[in-house]
Amino acid sequence: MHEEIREAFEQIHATEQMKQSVSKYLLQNRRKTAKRTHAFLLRPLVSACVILMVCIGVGNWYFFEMPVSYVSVDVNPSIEIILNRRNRVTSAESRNKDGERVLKNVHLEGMDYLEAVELLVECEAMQDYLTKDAELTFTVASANAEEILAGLQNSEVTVHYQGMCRSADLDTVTSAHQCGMSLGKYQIYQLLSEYGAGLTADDCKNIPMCHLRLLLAQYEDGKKGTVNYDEIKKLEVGCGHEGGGHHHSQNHH
Amino acid sequence: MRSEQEVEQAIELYSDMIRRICLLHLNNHEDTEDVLQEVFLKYVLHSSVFESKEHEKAWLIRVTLNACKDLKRKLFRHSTVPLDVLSEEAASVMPEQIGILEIVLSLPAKYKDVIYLHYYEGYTAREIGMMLHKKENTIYSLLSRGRELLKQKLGGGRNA
Repeated sequence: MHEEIREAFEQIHATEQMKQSVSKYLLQNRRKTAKRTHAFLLRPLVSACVILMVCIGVGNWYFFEMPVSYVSVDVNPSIEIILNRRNRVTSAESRNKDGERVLKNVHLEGMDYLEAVELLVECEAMQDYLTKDAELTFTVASANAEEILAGLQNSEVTVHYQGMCRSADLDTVTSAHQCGMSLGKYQIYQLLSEYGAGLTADDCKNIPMCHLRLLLAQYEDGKKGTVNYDEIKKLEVGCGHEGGGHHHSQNHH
Repeated sequence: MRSEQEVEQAIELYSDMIRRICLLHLNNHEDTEDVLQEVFLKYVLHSSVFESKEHEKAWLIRVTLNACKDLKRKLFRHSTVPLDVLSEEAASVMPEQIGILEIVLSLPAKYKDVIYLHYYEGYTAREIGMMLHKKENTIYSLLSRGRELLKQKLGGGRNA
């Protein structure tokens, strides 16, 4: 029986067609696998490129675009200069109509903050506002405020126009923007509120910077009580442009 | 992945064996081709090194048996006598041996594998046990009962 079974099974062979079919199937499978392998090998490369591009993008934003410091320049025009990590201007925004008028004529983006401030203050449009009773105020909100303030205090424009340099908390930047004021004006509004001047944010927006500074000086000298409606109306006119400011209504220039 | 040359050698060497195991379980050439493809694809993708040719052969037997069982399960083709496939072999197999094959193929599945592996491939009960993950004594029992069934079907009186 052993031999019979052996001989019977010995007759069974895989046909050539079966072998060829297997070879063909395996060849097709190898091609598919090779394609998948290429795709598999390319995938990490593509991922690495994407990660690299994202890193470059984030790095670029971090070093060149991310707002780090805010310098508010207030005469009556209120302009805010936003600086990156390298103290270069990433953008300049006007915070009132006079500021808008001045900014139309100067482009500060990409400049060092001191160059930008000097260009801004010395520009023809700003000169219209820098009359003898005008007051130039720089307000800095930054983790690096000391260095920026030191630079501003020693700058030609501060010395020439007897500008005042102040620092503010970075937290106040958002609050100031929400109230539609520059950082410098908002800081004075806050101080006047502490003295109980009773002015609203809208009142302060309409009062020129020079009058706000004078009002603050009065409170610092001992003035008491709130500012009444008539006083507010008087404060709104005078040295500034907005609300009938001096440039148009009083023809000082 | 194994080289093309290595795989071609294996196809030449083991296709007949796989074909014979398929004959025990499957009903037609198409199913046999499916199993051949599946087994050799597994062989191509099998990354471990075989200790010897014997080890390689035993691995292929186990993979083939599993592939046959899987295919039958998939196609809901239960253990019917695969006589149809023998008619496909009629041209190449001598008539008296067709009879023997018919008898072997008519055995219950559990006997067919051990009969084939022992009588044709020459494996011992211990080796078959290792291959099929069964105890050696179980293989002895299956061989003994299978032999009895064969004797009865062959008309008795023959020595295994």
